[in-house]
Order: sequence, then structure tokens, then C-alpha cells
Amino acid sequence: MKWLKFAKYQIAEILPSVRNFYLIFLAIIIFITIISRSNSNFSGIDFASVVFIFIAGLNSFRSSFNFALANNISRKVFLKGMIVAIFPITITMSLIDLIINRVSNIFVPNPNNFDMIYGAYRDIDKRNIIRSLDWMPQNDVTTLLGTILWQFALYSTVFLLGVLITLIYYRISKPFKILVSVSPVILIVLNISIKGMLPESFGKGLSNFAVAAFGFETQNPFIAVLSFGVIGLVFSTFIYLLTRRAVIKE
Amino acid sequence: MSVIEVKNISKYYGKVCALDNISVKFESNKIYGLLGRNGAGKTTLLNLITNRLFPTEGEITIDGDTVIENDKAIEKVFYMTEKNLYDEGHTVKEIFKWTNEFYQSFDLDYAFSLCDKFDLKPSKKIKSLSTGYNSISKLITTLASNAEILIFDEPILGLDAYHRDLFYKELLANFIKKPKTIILSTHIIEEISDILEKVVVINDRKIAIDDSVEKILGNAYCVSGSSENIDQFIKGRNPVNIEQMAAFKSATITGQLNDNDREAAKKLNLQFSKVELQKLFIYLTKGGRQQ
Repeated sequence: MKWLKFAKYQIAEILPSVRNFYLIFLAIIIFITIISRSNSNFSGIDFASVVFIFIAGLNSFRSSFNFALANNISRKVFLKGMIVAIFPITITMSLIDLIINRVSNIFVPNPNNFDMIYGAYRDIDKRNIIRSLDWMPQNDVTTLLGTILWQFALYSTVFLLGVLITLIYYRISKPFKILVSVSPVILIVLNISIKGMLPESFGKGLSNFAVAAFGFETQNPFIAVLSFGVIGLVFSTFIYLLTRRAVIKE
Repeated sequence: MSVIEVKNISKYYGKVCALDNISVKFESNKIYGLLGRNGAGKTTLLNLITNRLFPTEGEITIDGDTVIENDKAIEKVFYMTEKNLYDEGHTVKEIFKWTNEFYQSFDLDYAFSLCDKFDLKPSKKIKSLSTGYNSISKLITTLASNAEILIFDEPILGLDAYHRDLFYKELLANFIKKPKTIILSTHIIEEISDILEKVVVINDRKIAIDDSVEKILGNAYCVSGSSENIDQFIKGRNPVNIEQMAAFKSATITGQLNDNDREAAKKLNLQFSKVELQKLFIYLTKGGRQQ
């Protein structure tokens, strides 16, 4: 089971960064908790994990790919190992984030992203600070399981997005790299709005689709988990297509 | 077994041809020298053998199995490249540990004993190693991998004379202990000529020579004497190089030396000498195009 060994290598490569991230993250949480007064709160700090996992995804292709080829591991084994390695990391991060969040909530109310999208916090009038401070985290099995699964699915998809972006840059030629890099700037400069170029009904339909696909309206996180799964599968397919003929670059 | 067969391989980078329809067979349990001038296509060929590049045309097999995305075939090979493919934050010991995971026959004790011999501290990070010690760490990993086929691309880059000599001795000892197919690609030909059994020369993107060292050197000779007599001797023969020093000339001629040649040389008062592999390589490849 070479792919399993490669997954082990991949996990060992990412673990030190995860450890360092949580040391800093914990220090920040403790600091905020200490300085927070009794009538204050904070929220969504777990978004830092999303940023971290995205950067980890961006950085995890090149060196691992070189290592795989240095050990004469085929691209398909490399890919299988790399993708499998994501899941233990993201599920662990999801668990850690939930534990940190619920423990810190004992001292200062701080809803995580899941609470704000799918929990009761969404229905609280945010302009009323007193009502906000009254919020208590829900700790029933469905909420906890939903949080873990939703964060796990989100982190895994974001990691795959990071890998995909790196791979696109790795595979495309220099002129394309420049084109991809400057195109957002060109769009801003020329004030071309993609939304404006598309019919209004399209934008509305897309928005309704996203609301339904991520269970925003129904507050059903499990639909979002399913959607992340589909997106992750699409990303994985593109990663496979880009990796199968990839070669070492000087 | 561990036979590499390269069949009608061509490799193009865009419109640039790196290898043009080459076929060559690397037999099992022999030490090969893969020679060629800069840009001749040696590294391209090695990268194709190890599935790091894909051919434009043709097929490469190891023991009959294609090398393209085939772990069964490529895991028989350990390829030491000039380029460092390991994360520079790793220590030498960590490289051994991970190579041990992917190569079942990797010998950790042997790797550490080689570290002692080469004065390499396994606790050192790759990024802190000099060019020479970087090469040494890769040499040790390759030797200790115990793969059936070992490929070295510029193995002695940055090595001092002592370490080069030690490497040749260890390579031979390794081969004697457990025979395997070894391919050495280097520019320092004279130093390795004694340990090579066969030589494959790539010139102008094609295989120029594929023969045993003995046959190659037996099929060329050097003759020297007065310019006039040398000019007379080389008529009708195949000189690949002529050097002149004042009134004397020295000619390197390809072809079997026979009794008629000896007789003719004796009459002309000419002296025969053996050709060095490196010099013969230079003479035979000096017409090669550069990329």
C-alpha cells in the first residue's frame, strides 16, 4: 500500500505547520479572552483555520511531488496519497476548532462560523449587544456533529482548492501565468463586472442555487456537507487531470 | 533480471528535439557508462526511463513492463539526480527514514556506515550541506536503496579526489556484494573507465556507440611518428583525430589493428599506443551538434 505510506509522509510534512498554527491560534484566543470585558464578545475567529488550510494546500504540491518522483512513486499513487492525507488533518482540525471554541465560550461568547450560519445565533438581533451576549452555544449532538462534519468538509474542499490553484500555476506556461495573474486587475481597471455581462436572471438563479446548495435558507448543514463533497470531487478530478502528465520543473 | 529496453524513443520539447528515435538495451547486472556532451540528451533519457518525463514516441520497459505510471517497473530503480528533489529542511537521517519506507530493501545500517566513511553527519539538514556533501548524501541514499537498478546522474559533482575514490570503491563493493544494473552518467570519464563494462554514447540526439569498453578500446589505436610518415600511414585508414607537435604527429585511428598495420608502421618507424576512453569519446563526439 504505497499510497498509504505516501499519505503518512504527507501528514508528517503538514503536521509541524498545524502544530505551530494552533500554538499561535491558542495564544490569540487566550489573549482576546483575557482582554475581553464582561460586556463584549467576538465571533468567527475559526475563519483563521480556513485561511491556514488554504495556504497549506497552496504549499503542499511542489515539494511533495518532487519527493514522490525522487522515490519513483507514480503520479497516481502520489495523488491518492496526497488526497487521502487531507482527511485526517482536516477532521482533526475540525475537532480541535470545536473544542477550542466551546471551551473559550465558557469565558466569552464567541460563536463560530457554523453557529452564525446554521445555529440560533443567526436569528439574534446583532445590533442589540445585550441580546448577543445572551447567546449560549448549542451543545446538542446534532449541532456538534453538524459542526464537525461541516468544518471538515469545508476545510477539505478549501485545501483541495489550494492544491488546484498551485497546480494550475505549475502546469500553465509563463504567458498564461501572467494572464491569469493580471486578469483580475484588468477587470477592476476596466470596471467590467462579470455580473453586469450576464443576464439578471442568471445571477439570481445562481444565488438561489447557492443558498439551496449550502442549506442557508433551511439551516441544514448536511446539505452543505454534501455540496462540499461534490465540489471537492470536481476539484479532485481537475487535480488528477493536471497531475497525470506533470513533470518536475527546474 | 532488471533489463531496461528503450525502443524507438523520441522526445521533443515543443519543436526542439532532445532524443531522435533511439533504441538501446541496458542488460542486467552490468555497469554502464552513459556518455555524451552537454545537451546530448543523457538526462532526458534517464528521466524517461524513470517516468519523470513522457516520451513523444516509443516505449521503455523494465523487465518487459512499461515504465509509464507503472509502480511495479519503476520501483526497481533508484535514480540519483543532479537536481535536489528533497525538501531542504529535512535532515539526512530523515531522508534515509523516508526512503526506507518506499524501498523495502533499503539498508539503514549500511547508510549510516557510509555516512561514517564519508564523514557525513546524518543529523545535518540538506540545506546546510555543501555541494559535495549534498552529492554524498544522495550517493549514500542511492547505494543503500538496494534497488535492482541504480542510476547516477553526475554523481561526483563537487566531490574531492578522496571522496571520488571512496565512491568508486564503495560502488564496486556494492556491486560485487549484490550485482545489479548500474548506469553512471558523468563527464569525468577517465576516472570511471576502469569500472565500466559497457558504454552508451549519445551524440547528436542519437545513440552513437553501444558496446563494451573492451571492444571500443580494442577497436581504436593511437599511432605516432614523423608527420610525413603518419600522413602516409593514415591513407586509406579511418583517423578520428590528428595532433601535430613540431615535426611529429599523433593520429587516433578506429579499426582493428592487424599484422599489415604493424608491418607498415614498423617500416615507417611509427609507435603504437592505447587510446584513453575519455580522449576517444572527445574525438568521436566533437562533431555533435549543440542544443
